[in-house]
Amino acid sequence: MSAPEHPAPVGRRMLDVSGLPTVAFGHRDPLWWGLWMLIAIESTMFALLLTSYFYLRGNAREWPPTGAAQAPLWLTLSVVIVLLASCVPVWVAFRAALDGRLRPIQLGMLWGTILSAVALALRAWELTSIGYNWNSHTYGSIVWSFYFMHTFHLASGVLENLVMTALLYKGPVEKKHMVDLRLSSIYWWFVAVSWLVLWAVVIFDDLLFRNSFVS
Amino acid sequence: MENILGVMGMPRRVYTYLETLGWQDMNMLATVGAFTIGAGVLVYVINFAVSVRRGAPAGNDPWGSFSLEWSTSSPPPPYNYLHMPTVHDGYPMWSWTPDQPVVSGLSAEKREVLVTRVMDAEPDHREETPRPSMAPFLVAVADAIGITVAIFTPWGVPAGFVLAALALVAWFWPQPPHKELLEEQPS
Repeated sequence: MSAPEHPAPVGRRMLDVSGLPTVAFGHRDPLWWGLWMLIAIESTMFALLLTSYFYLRGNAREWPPTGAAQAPLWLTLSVVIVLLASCVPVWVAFRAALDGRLRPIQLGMLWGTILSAVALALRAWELTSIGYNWNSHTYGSIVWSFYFMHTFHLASGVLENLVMTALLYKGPVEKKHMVDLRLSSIYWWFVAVSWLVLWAVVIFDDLLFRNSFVS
Repeated sequence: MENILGVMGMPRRVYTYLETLGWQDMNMLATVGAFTIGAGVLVYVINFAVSVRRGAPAGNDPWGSFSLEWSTSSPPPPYNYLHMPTVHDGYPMWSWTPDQPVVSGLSAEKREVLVTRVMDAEPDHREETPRPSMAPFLVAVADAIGITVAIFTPWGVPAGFVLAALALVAWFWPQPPHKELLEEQPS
């Protein structure tokens, strides 16, 4: 780098840092810490939603209420499967980003983005086929909160993937973008795994424990 | 105290309540506490008023402290340090040697920050922080529009999301001059 540096102090010993790299991965990177703290915050938010769910459940007479029909099982299941499948190509890009191999990064993010967009489209369909509303009853209120909060994260994750992929194909690609890509991958996995948990709670509660443990 | 009262059922923002509810003692204790804090603040106010009139003005480091904020002038210049200092341990100003090195080699053209390692604080890499941008303001405007519309229709939420997304993409999209480029570039 030939950029001008700060004038060197006269007559003082110096610690020259001009030879240090401009990017670093993992715990060396401040943004990595920021991302994990963000995930800690968002996980707490999801945990609070789950706590509310079980609190409401413990005070309910029937759970889910009679006539509260979920979206078709194959549809909710396909959202989960597509989400989990999208993690694989993102992982390929995540690995290749370490040493900047552009081709696998591009393909990984392209397929990751396509699958994540499919998951978002399926989610939109899922939302329109839920047989109750957020103002139907307490159950509807809390489950729609799950859906709303997760769809918000899902949409932001799809946007991130989309922008990253567009950047990878259009260029110029900076070294810093490899760090960004590693972070957006971790965020994407968080989006996928958090839905696996929320979905499992709602669906298995409905299928296996309908009206058990209610007050 | 207020927390316990809240658990006992005392509502917020109600200034009085029935005697039979049994919240007096703890409220009295809270009142005594509030006056105690007030008295403590009063000491600071008196100290401030007296110090403005009398006594020598404090220098850059009136108490020979060890931490870095005392090594610069008081008030500090806007750039804090002309040359970034180096440290040996958690008590830098006490352990400095007469020829303590200063950091050199950071760019004068870009906002470069020296990132050190978490545990041993060895210099690790130079992180370039973003340039000034209008985008955060546009994100705030988008959010304000989304939330305002959401008062009248739920569609304000997706609309705000799309507007904020556009501003965020504009924020993220790299502008020249570019940072260090990857060896491989898309053709």
